[in-house]
Amino acid sequence: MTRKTSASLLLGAAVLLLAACDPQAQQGSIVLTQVPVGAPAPQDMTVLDARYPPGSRVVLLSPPFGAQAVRVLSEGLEAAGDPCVSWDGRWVYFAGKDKDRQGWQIYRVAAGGGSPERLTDAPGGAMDPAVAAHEELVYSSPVPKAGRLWASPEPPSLYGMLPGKAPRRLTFGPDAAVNPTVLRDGRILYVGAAASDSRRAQPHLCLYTVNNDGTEVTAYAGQDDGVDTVRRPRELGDGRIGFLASRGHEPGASEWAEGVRSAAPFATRANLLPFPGQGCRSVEPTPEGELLVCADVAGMVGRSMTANAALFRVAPGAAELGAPVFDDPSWNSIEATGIARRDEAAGHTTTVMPAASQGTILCLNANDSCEPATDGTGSPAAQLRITAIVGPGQLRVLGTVPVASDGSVLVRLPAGVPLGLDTLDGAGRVLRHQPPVFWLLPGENRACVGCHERRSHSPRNVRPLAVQTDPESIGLAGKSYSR
Amino acid sequence: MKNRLSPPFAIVIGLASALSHAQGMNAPAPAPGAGPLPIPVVSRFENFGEKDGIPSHKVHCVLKASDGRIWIGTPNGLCVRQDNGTFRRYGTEDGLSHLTVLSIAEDPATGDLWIATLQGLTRLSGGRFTAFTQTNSGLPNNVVYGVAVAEGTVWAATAAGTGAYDLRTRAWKPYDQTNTVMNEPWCYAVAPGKGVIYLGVWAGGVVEHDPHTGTFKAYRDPDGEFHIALATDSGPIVDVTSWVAYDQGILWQGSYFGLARYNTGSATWRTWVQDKTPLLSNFVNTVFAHGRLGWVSTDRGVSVTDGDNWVNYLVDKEGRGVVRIYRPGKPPETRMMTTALPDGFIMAVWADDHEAWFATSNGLSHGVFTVSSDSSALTSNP
Amino acid sequence: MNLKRSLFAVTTAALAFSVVVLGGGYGLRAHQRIRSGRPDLGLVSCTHCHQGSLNKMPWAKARPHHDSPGGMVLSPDGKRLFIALDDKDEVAEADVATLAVLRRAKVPGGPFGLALDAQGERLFVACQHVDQVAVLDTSDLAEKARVSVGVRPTDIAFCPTRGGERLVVTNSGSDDISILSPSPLAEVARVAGGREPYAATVVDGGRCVYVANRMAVHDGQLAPPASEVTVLDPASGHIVNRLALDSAHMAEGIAAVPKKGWVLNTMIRVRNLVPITQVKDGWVMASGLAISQADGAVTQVPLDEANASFSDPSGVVASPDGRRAFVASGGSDVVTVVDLDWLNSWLSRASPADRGDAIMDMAFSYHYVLARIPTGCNPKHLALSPDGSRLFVAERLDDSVLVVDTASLKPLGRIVLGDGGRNDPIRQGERVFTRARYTFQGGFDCRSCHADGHVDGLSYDFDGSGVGDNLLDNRSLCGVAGTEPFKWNGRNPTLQFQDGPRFARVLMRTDPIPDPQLDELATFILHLPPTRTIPWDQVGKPLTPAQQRGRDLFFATKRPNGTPIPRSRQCQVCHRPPLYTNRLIASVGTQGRRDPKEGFDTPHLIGVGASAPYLHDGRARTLEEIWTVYQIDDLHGVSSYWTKLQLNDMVEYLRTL
Repeated sequence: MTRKTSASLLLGAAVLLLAACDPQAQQGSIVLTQVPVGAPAPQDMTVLDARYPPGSRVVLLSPPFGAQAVRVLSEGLEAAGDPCVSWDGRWVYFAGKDKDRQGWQIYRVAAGGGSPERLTDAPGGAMDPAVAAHEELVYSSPVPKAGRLWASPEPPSLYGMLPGKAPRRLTFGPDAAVNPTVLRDGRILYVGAAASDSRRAQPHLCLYTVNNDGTEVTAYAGQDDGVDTVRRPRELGDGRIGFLASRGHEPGASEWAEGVRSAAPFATRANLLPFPGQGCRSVEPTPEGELLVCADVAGMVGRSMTANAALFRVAPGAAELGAPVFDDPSWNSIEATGIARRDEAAGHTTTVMPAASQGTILCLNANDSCEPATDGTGSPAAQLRITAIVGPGQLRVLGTVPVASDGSVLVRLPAGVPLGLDTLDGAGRVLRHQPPVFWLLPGENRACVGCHERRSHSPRNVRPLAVQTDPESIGLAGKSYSR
Repeated sequence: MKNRLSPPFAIVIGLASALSHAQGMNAPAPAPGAGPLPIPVVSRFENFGEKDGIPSHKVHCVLKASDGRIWIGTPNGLCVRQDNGTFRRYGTEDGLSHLTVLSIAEDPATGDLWIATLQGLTRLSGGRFTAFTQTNSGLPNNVVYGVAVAEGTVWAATAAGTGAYDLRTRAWKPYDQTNTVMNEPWCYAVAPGKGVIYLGVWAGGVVEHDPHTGTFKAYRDPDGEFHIALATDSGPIVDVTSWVAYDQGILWQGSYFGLARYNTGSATWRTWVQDKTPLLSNFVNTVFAHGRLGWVSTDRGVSVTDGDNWVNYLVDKEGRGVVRIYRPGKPPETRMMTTALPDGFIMAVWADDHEAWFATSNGLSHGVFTVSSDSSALTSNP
Repeated sequence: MNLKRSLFAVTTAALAFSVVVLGGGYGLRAHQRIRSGRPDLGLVSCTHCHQGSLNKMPWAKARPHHDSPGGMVLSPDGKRLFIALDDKDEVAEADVATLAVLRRAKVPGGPFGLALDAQGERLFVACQHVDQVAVLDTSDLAEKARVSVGVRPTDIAFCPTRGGERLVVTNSGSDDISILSPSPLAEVARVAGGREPYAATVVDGGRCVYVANRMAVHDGQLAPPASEVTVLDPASGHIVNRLALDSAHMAEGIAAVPKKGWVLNTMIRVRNLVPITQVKDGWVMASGLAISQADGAVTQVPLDEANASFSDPSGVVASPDGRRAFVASGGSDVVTVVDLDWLNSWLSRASPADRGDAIMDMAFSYHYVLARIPTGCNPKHLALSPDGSRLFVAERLDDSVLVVDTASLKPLGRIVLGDGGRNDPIRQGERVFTRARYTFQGGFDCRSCHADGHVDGLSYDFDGSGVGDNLLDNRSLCGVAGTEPFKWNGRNPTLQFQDGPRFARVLMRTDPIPDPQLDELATFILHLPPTRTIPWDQVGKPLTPAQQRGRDLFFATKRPNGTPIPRSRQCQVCHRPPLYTNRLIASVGTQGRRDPKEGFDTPHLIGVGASAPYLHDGRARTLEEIWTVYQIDDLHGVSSYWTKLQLNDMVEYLRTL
């Protein structure tokens, strides 16, 4: 061995040593949730306990993804799951349950491994982490009891928390807001319930977006189509949004992958994979344009009907799922995402004015609707009635405001409560009804084309009459004053 | 001397008229041996009114555009005659600056129409209306009586001067009593001449303007009298100008007190008044110049003349059409027509060698010429 | 004793200093109040009035020039591509096979639009900076003739007609269209276009020419604007039709579609009358394509998607078989491929209501957008090879032309014209100016409202403290250097302040432009020269008598009867030359019902003749209306003594600024 060779070996050893100390993950690594096969669910469990029973863990898989390449990232936690990766690929966020604290919170750990750091201390727990621009953590809280996700008396809402800052509540709907993911345009895409007058245990679930300051809540997809349950939406990077669909409300073997095209999300809902995908547990994009799919291997060639879930890599246009890239029969591999640097999502300059207590809504034409009026006469709207959910089960009529002759309405409304709108004819009869489903943030200026307007539609370029005068102001107690 | 008919001539006219009535003549063929009449003669009138889609009984002006379409101005909008013979109306809702259309001119270079209204000037180009008013443009005044287009400039005669709109620079030049020889700003009409523009000034005769040199020349009534023509054939009939028209070196001045003609080649004037000449009425609304002919719209019918020969169209008390033909040195001919103008009050005429259109206070009329009329003589007759 | 003396001296000096300072300050304030006629005026910088020379403005200084590709045209055999390089005063010829630049020819005057005759022997060049059209011999690129046309010609189309060969030239600065005879080269007619005729395409073998007019015609503050497509018969010079693209502006691309009888216009569908509360779903503006059919029917369809925008649609070409169109989106660096067959099928069955609503449905483009091809920076002009196999994309701010295989939609290579000017901060700023990534979903960029830095002639309702109370006229950025503060309320002391976080909040709805890019953007804007409003051959010429009379009025200090005009109401006091603004807030009686304050920033008047509408909310459609309709009690200059002639003179003078 020459001196030169020895020096090279020493240098290589030093590099390897340094690499071992580096918390960054190896290129091509994958972070994965593993749930022990056959693990019993705890008593009085939450939705996360059911999804991630004790022993569930978040692990790092390094190429070439052998069983020995697994490194536990949720070390020291009773259970963990639902990982997501920071934009720079250096950190992994996940939901974890501390043995001592008996609750689910959001943790962060270096992607290459280390001690998890608890980020949240949310009353009732936190779940479903996602990362927005500027490393803002987005999560859902509280964590409801199992089976009560959509009927919880305290439905989970989305929160945003910038590093070092207190969390801010982002959603104020009457139903749960869960499974957030952050789109490249900066919006938070999440799962919510379609607008309904009654709180059903099995509502129709669909996708909504909201800005990362809680403004501009908007229907995204699935409001008018598909099966009742969707979960884990993800932007796939090929112009599609993928998500899991099922007929039940709890994750499991009956889920399959669906998707919509972001170019026309209300018209393109379809199966995501060109082959049977029953038992799909998660779908995530890779930087290479492939999909990481966690799916059950039950019934596959050589596997029993009660086998575990494994990890697959699916190339664009693949005709079949193929062989798993990682499969440990002792574990269900249920959530996988690649660890890589990605372009950070766009930010959003907030329009919220914390000192304000109201927002303003402009309806351009209350008669512009894709649904016929209930009276069927075609009468134009004369008034707009505003309703709000002011407490659990407490629906209150806040007041009415006149509709201008062109159908436009401009009104200031209380912020931070679910608001509903009814158009009334001259005799006070309801023409169209929208139960409380949207909200305003303080200082938010919001506008809509019409009532039950067509999806993804722009307004006509006309000056609404309603903006020629100052808006009326309606408070929580009802119509307060008119200027 | 104002052009007046001698008493014997008037007697001849009377006799001829009586004779024609007695003979029941209704064909406007020239008398044997009389030679071709240098004026086309209308053989029949085709009348159009509110039943045809014209939105008013009154028609102020008429224009046959270079594409063959007939445009008329009414107190209730602008109309165009469609292929099926009915009229399509355009109003303020279409962009017309005012419903009352007084005059229409076509830009020969672009085919655009320029429309004079009681509240502004409107351009109709490629189906789109654009309004020019005294508040949004350099138009001197919103009351636009007459409009003409020549050499890339739109000339608008208004109640407060004439405005010249340079189509290339988009600059307006107003002309009124402060910067021209006009004695007052009220302009009724404008007529492009050969290198010059003639402005009909309400009480200021006719002003000739050379845009290239910026010079002005006023033609005023030499006797300065409204009601009597003391100095004939030596200038405008009176200073009160209701209209001016120009073609082929001939300038016509219409007035409510008679008619005048200026031969720009010989720099000579001729004047006519009713009773003393074949001119139907002193009350001349407009004159349309075509070749050497002037089509004179009066409150009693239409007179067509080359200065020597006259063809008058009027409506008798029974509503029948009458044509009277006057030739120098010959007795006048009066013939009954099988058709008639819808009204004797004629607002304006448009005519060429083949047809004539009459804007009247009771609709629009199309004059179909006699096939045998010798139109080639129109331009050769001195 | 010495101490006392020293104390006395110090005290005396201090007192004297105080007297000088206080007195000077008092005197200065008195001077400012007297000269401005504003007794309420606080102490302001002397530079409000003493503005220095325009020659010292950033835009007046020499700057780097770049090989930015403008118009392009292919030789009839498809072997050579001619490229206009307006910033370099050159025309380049490239070999299509090798992608090499074969030669360059000097063509003074900002060559921008190109056209070839049928044989490919004569290259006609629209020179936008000198208002001329030049003819080059393609054998040696030597200039053979030159003729004057209207102001700022941007495009030229060659067409055989029944009356002989004709050239149609879009004069963007004089709002008219020149019709030329090519042999000998002469202007035979000039007809009025819409606002900013920008591009032309020949239809039906020269039967007619369609002209895209970039800016919308603003017909009243609250009326929807419309951009015009002017249809003319090049043989007669007559206007055949003026098609209206409802609520469209920046309609700067046009292409005839073979075999379908259509004409395509790129356009931005603007919603300026709707208060800006969101960017998504085209609430501010959206990119679209207008289809004009032979019967005059115009249908607008979106190019944007439900959740993504492709801003600044510019160049458009249609394949020879009429089945596809390619559209360059200058703000998003993509070329969109459009399936015209699908649109044809849809049009054949769509009801009038469907056609009218199509542009509102942001998900509609999903049906006919076949692909989005990534390009270099700021794709603008497009050209197709005669057989349709190659698409050429002018990457204007990268100094290159991308060549795309239209079958695979894959890039084949680039014609490299220059180095991209990466070291030029002005160029870098222009990249920021034209980049839509700083707006939510890439909805628009600075250029979307400020083509060439100028105005779009529209008023927008920004989301200020409320909804619907902030209708503001878009102001030109050309010649804006030295005229700070910015914005109609005069609250933005710098362009960085104007275009930074505040804009992000009220308009762009995303993170503010990062500071380095913001500085580059400001640099670019400050180097935008004033808009030229008069013909090139009139530049530097003495004023006409009317313009001189208008100037005398502008600088008048007394009425004709000798009565003094208060200084605060003399035109030249507030609109003080050479910038024609004293950069102060002034109340001219134009406060609207929902305007929070009565005072507004005094705008500069350089290029004012081309920046209609006027006043802070764009209520005055023309300069005349400022004084004929919206003047109250002589608050906006003393105009009550003006005759109509004098008003016209004033307007004529203002149009020279």
